[in-house]
Amino acid sequence: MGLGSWIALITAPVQLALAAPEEAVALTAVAAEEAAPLADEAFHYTFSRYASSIETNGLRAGSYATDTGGLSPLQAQIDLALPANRGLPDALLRIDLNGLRGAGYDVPGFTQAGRMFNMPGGGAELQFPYAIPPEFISVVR
Amino acid sequence: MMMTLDEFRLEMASYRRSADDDATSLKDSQIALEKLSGLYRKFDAAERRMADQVLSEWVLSEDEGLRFDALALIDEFKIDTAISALHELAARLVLSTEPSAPYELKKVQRIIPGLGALGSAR
Repeated sequence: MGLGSWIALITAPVQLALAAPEEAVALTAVAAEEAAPLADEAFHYTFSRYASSIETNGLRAGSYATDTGGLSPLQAQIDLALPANRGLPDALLRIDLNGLRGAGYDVPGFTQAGRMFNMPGGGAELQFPYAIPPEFISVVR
Repeated sequence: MMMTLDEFRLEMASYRRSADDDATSLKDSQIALEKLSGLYRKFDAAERRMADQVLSEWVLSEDEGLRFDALALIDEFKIDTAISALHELAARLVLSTEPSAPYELKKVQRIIPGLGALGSAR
């Protein structure tokens, strides 16, 4: 954790004590974001039939990714609240977030996946508002 | 009765919006491309001519998402009538300061030679 992150953590309670309630909520979010280390990579669980197209064209805008590449296909479906009627995601891609930042992309932060499709969610997810070039994607399996 | 190009253009845009909505609701953005590819595959020769024209227009759109889909389809179906639009897009991307521009330019430069003699001759 860098010096800036420590300062954010230490000063957050003081700022919160001085802030109005609605400001306190915003400050908590800001402090958490400042204190959280930036992820170097993200993982996209998908289907093997898409892998070749993604390797060639990249990922379409609106794609989701999570912070862990160690989920089984079933765990991914449950934790990321993916629809059950489409089958289990049998392919895993790694996305180089540091590379994206270095190229000038603004990488969104992770949030918690909410309940959908009768799946509980709870895992970390982020949604890219832009397409991811294939240069930043590698196939894990 | 055969659709006019204007009608066809609207139909394709509407189909893509619907595919995009499905992709969003199912948390799987690649579905939209799969659906668009499936649609193009079903077109007859006359419909493909109109679709090729629409895809060339999408290539020159300001909407990066629209360009993404058009480039993928042009590459997959080797639509050589899109060559001049691809060259125009390449020229525009050279001047762009968007983070995505160098990568999209590389993609366009990879697609053009694959479109046959017309592509490699220019």
